[in-house]
Amino acid sequence: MSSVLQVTNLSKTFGHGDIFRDVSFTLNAGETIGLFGPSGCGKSTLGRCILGLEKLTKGSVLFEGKDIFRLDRKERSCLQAKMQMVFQHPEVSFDPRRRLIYSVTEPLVYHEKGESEYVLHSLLPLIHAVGLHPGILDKYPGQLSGGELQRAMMVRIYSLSPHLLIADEPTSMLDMSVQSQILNLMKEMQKKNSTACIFISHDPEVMQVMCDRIGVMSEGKCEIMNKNNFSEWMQPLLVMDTMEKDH
Amino acid sequence: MSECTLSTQVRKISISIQKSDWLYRFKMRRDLQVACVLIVIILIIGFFAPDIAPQNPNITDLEGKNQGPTADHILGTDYLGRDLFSRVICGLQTSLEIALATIVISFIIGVTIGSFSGYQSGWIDNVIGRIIDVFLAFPSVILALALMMLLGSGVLNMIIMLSIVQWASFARLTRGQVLAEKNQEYVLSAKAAALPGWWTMTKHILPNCIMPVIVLATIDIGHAILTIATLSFLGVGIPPAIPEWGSMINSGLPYMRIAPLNVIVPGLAITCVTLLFNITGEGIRDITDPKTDNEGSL
Repeated sequence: MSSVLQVTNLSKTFGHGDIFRDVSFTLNAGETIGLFGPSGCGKSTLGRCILGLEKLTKGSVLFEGKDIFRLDRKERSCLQAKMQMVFQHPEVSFDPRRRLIYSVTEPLVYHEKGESEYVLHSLLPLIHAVGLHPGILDKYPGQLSGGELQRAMMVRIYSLSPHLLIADEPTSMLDMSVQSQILNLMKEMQKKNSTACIFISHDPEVMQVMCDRIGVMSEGKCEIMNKNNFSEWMQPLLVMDTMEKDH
Repeated sequence: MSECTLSTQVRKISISIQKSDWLYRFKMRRDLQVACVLIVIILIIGFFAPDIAPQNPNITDLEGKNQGPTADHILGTDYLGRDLFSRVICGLQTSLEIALATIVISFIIGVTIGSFSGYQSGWIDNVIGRIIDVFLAFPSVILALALMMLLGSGVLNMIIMLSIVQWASFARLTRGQVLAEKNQEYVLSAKAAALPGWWTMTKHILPNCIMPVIVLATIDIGHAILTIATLSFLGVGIPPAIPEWGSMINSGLPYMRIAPLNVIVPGLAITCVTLLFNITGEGIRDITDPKTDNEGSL
């Protein structure tokens, strides 16, 4: 198995102090690593740094053996198209002035220089796979529910057949039943495309289901552990939680 | 689902990509339609003013000066015996010419600089932001007067001068809009899809934040007409040979008791045209904003 992503000694400092220090891990194709931690511990920032949406303070990110920050613009664009991100709020992840069909076909229209109608045809199997009715694409994002939008986001993202997917709390804004549908969908898509995935969440149960390894972030450190260690590590916290509930 | 129905569905969706909702909202707004028709009429009158005007606006007739309405002169004559009606119509041409040219130039300059500044952020944004502030800090009429002294009078100079005064407000509005818009998740998601900066800017950020700027531009046409009238009322800007509403009011003032139409007619013309552009500007804002309902809001 080849490594898709290699993160070495990643650090990020904002004006007021370190967000995280010396985060290192490697990620193989088809594998999912979870990032777990309380709010504000830098999970999302780490995800954005890996994707190149924010500048790093120190360290390096090798994606498929190449450092995206050291490439020229054209190569970087090609490589970046292979790493995608699902955002936390599906309602605002789409341009509110464009019909969904535009947003969904846009990445392919740009990267493959295709006609919108042609691209839509090629995406139809994917649209059906995520369980969307094609008629829905005619609407504006404001007219659709979070679950529908997150499915449409899956289409947009998987249309580029990414090798790395960063999911930044993709289900925290959705209700339970939709949550499990989206998670199953993500797992299925991941298996089919053998995508590497970084799954950011603060829900330990979701973590257990989705991830092969879990990185626990606290106080700027990221400690990678496997599932068993994670449940052992979680145990005292869960006990405390139930005790609180009993009272 | 069979292949056939699928492809009809695809075709239907693709057709509706081009279809837009503002047209539908426009059909619901009678007042806006009337305003637009009136603006088109005004533009036509302004464009063909020399042909429409019944008489040459500059022929003087000292025998028949300060007359009231007659068969020859529908609105009477001014202090030099020139036909008032022809002068008002030709004054419309002068005003529209200068106002439209000014707005187009300052819109292009302002939006380009403002969006660039807002998108770049960092020290570039700081420098451009301060420059915009400096331009906005001057009272516009005083800045205009000073520039007019520097450049001398004339239509072209007036356009240059008004553009220098106006661009900063467009730049500031655009910059603010872009700053607010560029941290939205859909812009991040465009970035994450490896779409280049110019694509994100022109296809997503600008269309989402340009509407207030267009509204400002439409309303500013009215303002520009007012400023032109103000300056020529004060006696700077337009040479006396060119008919202009502000200078017509100025020259009519001493004779206001014997020939009141010389002040009232150009005054009314300024009011009506300015009002018309204001109404249209606000109407455009209402119909293009999907967040408002069909009733519009003020």
